[in-house]
Amino acid sequence: MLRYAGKRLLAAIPLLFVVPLLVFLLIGLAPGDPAVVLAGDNPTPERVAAIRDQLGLDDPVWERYLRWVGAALQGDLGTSLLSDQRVVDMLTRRMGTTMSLVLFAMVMAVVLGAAMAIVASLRPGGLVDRLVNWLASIAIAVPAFWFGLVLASLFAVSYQLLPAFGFEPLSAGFWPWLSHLILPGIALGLLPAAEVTLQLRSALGQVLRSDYVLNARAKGLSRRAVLFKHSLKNACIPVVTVLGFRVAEVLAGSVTIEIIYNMPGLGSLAVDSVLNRDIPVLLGFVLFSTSVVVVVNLLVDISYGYFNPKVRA
Amino acid sequence: MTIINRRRAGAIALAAVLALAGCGGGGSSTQGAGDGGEIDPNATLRFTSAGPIRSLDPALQTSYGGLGYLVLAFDRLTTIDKDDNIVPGLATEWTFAPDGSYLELKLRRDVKFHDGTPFDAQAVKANIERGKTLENSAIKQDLADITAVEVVDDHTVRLQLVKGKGVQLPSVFATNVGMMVSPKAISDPSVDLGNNPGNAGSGPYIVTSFVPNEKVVMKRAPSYWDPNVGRLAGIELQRVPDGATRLRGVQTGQSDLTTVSAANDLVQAQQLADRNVVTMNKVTFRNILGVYLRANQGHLVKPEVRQAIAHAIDPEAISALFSGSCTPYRQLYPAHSWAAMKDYTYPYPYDQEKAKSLIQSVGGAKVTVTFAAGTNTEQPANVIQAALSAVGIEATLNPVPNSENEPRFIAGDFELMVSSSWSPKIDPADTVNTYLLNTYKLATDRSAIESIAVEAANPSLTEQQRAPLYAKIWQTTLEQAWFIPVCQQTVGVVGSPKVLNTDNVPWANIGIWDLRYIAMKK
Repeated sequence: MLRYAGKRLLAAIPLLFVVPLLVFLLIGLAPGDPAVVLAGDNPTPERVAAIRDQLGLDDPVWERYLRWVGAALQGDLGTSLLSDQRVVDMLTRRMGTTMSLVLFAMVMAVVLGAAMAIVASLRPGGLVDRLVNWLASIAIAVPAFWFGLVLASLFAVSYQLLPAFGFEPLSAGFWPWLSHLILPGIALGLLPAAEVTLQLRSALGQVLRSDYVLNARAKGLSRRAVLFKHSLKNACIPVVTVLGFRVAEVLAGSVTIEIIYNMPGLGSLAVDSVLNRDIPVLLGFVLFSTSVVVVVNLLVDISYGYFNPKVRA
Repeated sequence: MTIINRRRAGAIALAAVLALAGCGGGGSSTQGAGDGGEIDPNATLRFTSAGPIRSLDPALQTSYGGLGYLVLAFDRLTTIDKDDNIVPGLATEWTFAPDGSYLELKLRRDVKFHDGTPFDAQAVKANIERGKTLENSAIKQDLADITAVEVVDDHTVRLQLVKGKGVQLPSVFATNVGMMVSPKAISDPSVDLGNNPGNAGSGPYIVTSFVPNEKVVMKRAPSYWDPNVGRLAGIELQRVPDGATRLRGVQTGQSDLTTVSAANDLVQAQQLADRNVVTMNKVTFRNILGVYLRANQGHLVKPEVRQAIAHAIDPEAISALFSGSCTPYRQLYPAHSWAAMKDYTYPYPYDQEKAKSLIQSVGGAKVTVTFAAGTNTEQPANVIQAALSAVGIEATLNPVPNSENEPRFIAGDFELMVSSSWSPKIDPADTVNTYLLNTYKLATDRSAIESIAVEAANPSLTEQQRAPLYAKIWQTTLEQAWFIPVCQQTVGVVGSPKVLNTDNVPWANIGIWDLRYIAMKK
């Protein structure tokens, strides 16, 4: 298993170089120039040219890329073109917000999705099953930002139960931290929750119809024992397989949600860096998010061993 | 010539004192409080805005958007009141030499920086020299008219000027250009002015924490020379780019004060104000939404084409896009300014038939309408493109990134741009320099205005003497259709009913803010 994980990790390393290269190429093709942002209001072409020269923005893409890779290998992701702060510090400061949000959304997605799927599969084709299917379809169809706005309007503005925007770190207290996560976390977690629901419900349907389950039922095992001890673990395999994708999906979705709720996380940092062509920050964000997806996928691969003993061999 | 009127300055101070005493009126009325109320000296104001803030070093501030954060920590040589008058700051008087060769500033004698360093003529010299020499200084250009700084005595400083230049300096000193930093902090390499200025200012508040582009937290300075400002225990200024989120913040009590300018946000804020959930003070934007034209490019070289474009645009239609919050305006200066033209009639009113005949007379025309994608000029640009097409002009849209449109127009990449960036400066000499003769270089026929501009920028002239000269320049600009003014947007200063003096926020009319007079009631 360890060898397998090691191989997967080695295979993922080139990805950490290729993705930033793509970002370099794409941002080079996109219109926009960090020098004009840095030059401020009403800049003269001379000032813009001087800034371009100072930042080395006129150097060839490959040269700038190699320079970045060289520094990144030494743990230096550079400094922001706009704020002159170290990119590592900026990412570290905002990581807590995004990780809290993603964690909340993923826990919600798994817990709510599994609960809904289990409830629905108790009576296949029944009213609850159809209702769950219907609700999950709606959650998939409606965009997260819309959910976000509706939730804020209802629970922050109308009932004033939860904060309308912002974020508090865990160090400020559990409730302040949680209260700032509930609305954005629900908005972000509904889509993956619905996907988990449908996927697990479908997998459970197949497993519950399989011979070994029928055999277990025939032996007189209770419905609960059959479901939780013998069926759920097997039905989880396809769900776990795509859990890595769900994390990537939630990480991407956090960009919009962080803006709606004005959360100082990595998503809003990424948006600012794109709008301002702050390339070092954008590359730092891309490297971080790529690493997260790689690590999560690796963990998913390793978790196969738990769900599927054949993989352990 | 002494520029300020001491009597007026005294009246402003008196009005502010009356307001402090709860009497209201003057420049510090208790609009926003409704029923007035006792000021709470222990209150902390939570303010949200869209303005980015990347550095707290005044000399490195490249954008107007960041100034609001700095004015609370750093005093300026002059300040601007809510009606755009230049009023004393650290300089109590300013006088130009009769021949315009220098500008002499008399300084306050009772000011110390919060690190204990006295504010004096040497401090002014150190700051101006720093602004002129600092690497990456964003104010170098603004100080270019100053050739030398001469310390006359401890509280008098004389700025030697480039001949015939510098008339705009008193107004420019009300921005970050005139912000004074303690010379001790300037000379101490361990002080990080950009991120942690600490006691380096002499303003009413001291920065206690700063996260770039996120939040600035300040506490009241232990002592301050102006009793009318600094009446809060602290201020938290948070960046919230989305207007609807900012409005939700005030509505839910998560913040106390904000500004909005998008039409939807203004409508919603008005509804909330009508229900007494929030208070709103509407301010007409100083900037003018309009159309910039390069009269030396493409078909725009023909005056008939430029005139036809001007005739084709219906300001009422543009205003309707903003739910009426963009008031049609056909001048280059706000009506209350001494530099505005009195009783002026715009030469190219909306007249589709006239526009059609002008285009027919030149055998058709073709233009590209550039605008910043995703901004409030997107819809106006679309309407203008449709209006141009309707009169026979082949008009195509050219959306560009928000950060690109102005610099690339300045660089000469576009022939026509719809933008709200025409921001009449406090001193019209600065406006002529920025938009007509230099930077934007809209005046393609420089000879038509250059000599008048030189004459009007003579610092020995009074405003009354300068006004008709600028009127000639504006008339030429409008007749040549180098810029077509369309309308002025509205800014709403939205606050909780506890916030006092929301009608006295200098700079609110250019989309930023100076919160020095804001207080909160118990």
